[in-house]
Amino acid sequence: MTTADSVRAGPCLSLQGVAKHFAPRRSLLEIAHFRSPERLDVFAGVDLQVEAGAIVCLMGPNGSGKTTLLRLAAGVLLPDAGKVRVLGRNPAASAPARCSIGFLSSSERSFYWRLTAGRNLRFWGSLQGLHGSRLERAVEEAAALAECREVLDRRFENVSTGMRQRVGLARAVLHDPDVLLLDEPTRSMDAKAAESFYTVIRRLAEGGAAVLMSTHSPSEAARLGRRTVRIEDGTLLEVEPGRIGAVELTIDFEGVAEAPPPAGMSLFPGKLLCPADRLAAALGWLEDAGLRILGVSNSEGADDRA
Amino acid sequence: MTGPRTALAVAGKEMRLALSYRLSFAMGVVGSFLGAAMFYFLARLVDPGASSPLARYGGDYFSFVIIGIAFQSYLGLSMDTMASSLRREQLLGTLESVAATGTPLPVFAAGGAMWQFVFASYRVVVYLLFGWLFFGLSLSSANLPAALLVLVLSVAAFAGVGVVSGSFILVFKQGDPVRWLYGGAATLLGGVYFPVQMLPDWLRPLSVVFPITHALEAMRKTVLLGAGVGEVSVRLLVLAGFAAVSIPAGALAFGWALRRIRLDGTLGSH
Repeated sequence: MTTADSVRAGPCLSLQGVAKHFAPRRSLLEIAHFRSPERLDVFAGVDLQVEAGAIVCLMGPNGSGKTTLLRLAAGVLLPDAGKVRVLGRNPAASAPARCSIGFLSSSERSFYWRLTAGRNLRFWGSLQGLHGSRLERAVEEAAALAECREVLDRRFENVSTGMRQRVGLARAVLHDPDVLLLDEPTRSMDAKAAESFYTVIRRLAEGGAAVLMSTHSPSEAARLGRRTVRIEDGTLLEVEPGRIGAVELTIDFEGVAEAPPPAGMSLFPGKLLCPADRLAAALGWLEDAGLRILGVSNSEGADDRA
Repeated sequence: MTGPRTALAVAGKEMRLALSYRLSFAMGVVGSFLGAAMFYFLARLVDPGASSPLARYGGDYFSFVIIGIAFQSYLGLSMDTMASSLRREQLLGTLESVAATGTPLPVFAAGGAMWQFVFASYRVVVYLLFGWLFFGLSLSSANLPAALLVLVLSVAAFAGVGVVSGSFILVFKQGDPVRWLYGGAATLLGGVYFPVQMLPDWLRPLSVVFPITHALEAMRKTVLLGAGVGEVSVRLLVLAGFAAVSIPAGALAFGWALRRIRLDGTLGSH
């Protein structure tokens, strides 16, 4: 771990009363008509603490604010109210605090595609204060840990999507951070790759890192998260461990839904994702909307055709 | 002292990215030759009569304009490099990840500027080399130490303006009024292509508000006429004054812009 033990007395990551809203810029048309675009409230004042060695999974439908929460924790986004602290320091204002964070962004574009994966890792390591033989050793170790050594000499643009995720993980861990922030880290991985990824994350947590990761997969949260938190309507709700696996169900339907789905549910073409304990409400909403229900499946693939 | 090493690492990354586009790099060299050739033939149209405003610079238009263009590339760079470096990272999608590291954005931008200055120096040398080899440019009377001092003070004066310009780019992404004013208007009024004495009487006083006017005047006198520091001291003082005002203003503007985009969540937007 990179930071002095004196600042490790409290939680590694702490959010206290954090509020965040986005106010989109007005277009010329809106200015001309004296209109303001609708303000988007993401969090009204949330609290979260992640201790050393903990793995906290962050769940919630698309647009609920998972990435926003991770960006707030990383210090690239400022809260409108409340405090974000990493090892007792504000990451937006403290370079040492940011040096103790490993951030795996969900965007593949956060790398230099014309450089090799190895050059990328060396460059990002130097931005975290690693140089010379320390940097070389860190790149080797991180690449071995993330199982991406074979692509180090390959241009990033020629690396497969799943392997890019591994390089992203190597970047996140190469400076031995105290806090790991992972935004949907396994989204492009096959089951085998995801499994070895879980092993790496568990090993890092056992080494003392505090891990906060977002995921859409209840099974992933159930297997990995010692704690799972669900974002719903701008608040954070703790999910009981025994209920994580059944958190989300997928209802396949036929037809086009025009109305927005009930709160806490996510609508995709032909699919509605809903918490298991709200299945009846979801089915009722689909029937009211005149949509034909084809079947319900859970995250483990168990299927219940209508 | 990891700041300088980190800045060097950023400069190295910029170099590797630039050299990965080999055709663009080669075309830049050819472009320098074509630019020098164009001004050589243009200069043959200009009559260097004794009463010409060019007489005070030695009377040779080609030497006058080649110094103007070569030096403008440095000054343009001082002003533009921070904005362009941050803009490029925004477009690549890497700026937010940079901001999440322990490297402060000004250090990152300074590293990008280091490579840009090395690259600009190379282009200036190529420009002057072509001028000397093929078009009769003479630098035999140049006072190089004095010219170097002019260059350093000019870069400092422009760098502060450049940081203000970079702040605009961070917030507004495109459409930077500082760049427009100091890039466009200063080229017209600052004497890059023609002496400011040729401007109409009512417009000429406006040229003194641009640092490039003082920088070019001092640079031409030291390079073309061999003037010493004492002979251009007033110009040097003006440039130092610009630097003293623009650098703190740039630091304030950058701090404000960074806070604003971190609040808006538009750090990585373009």
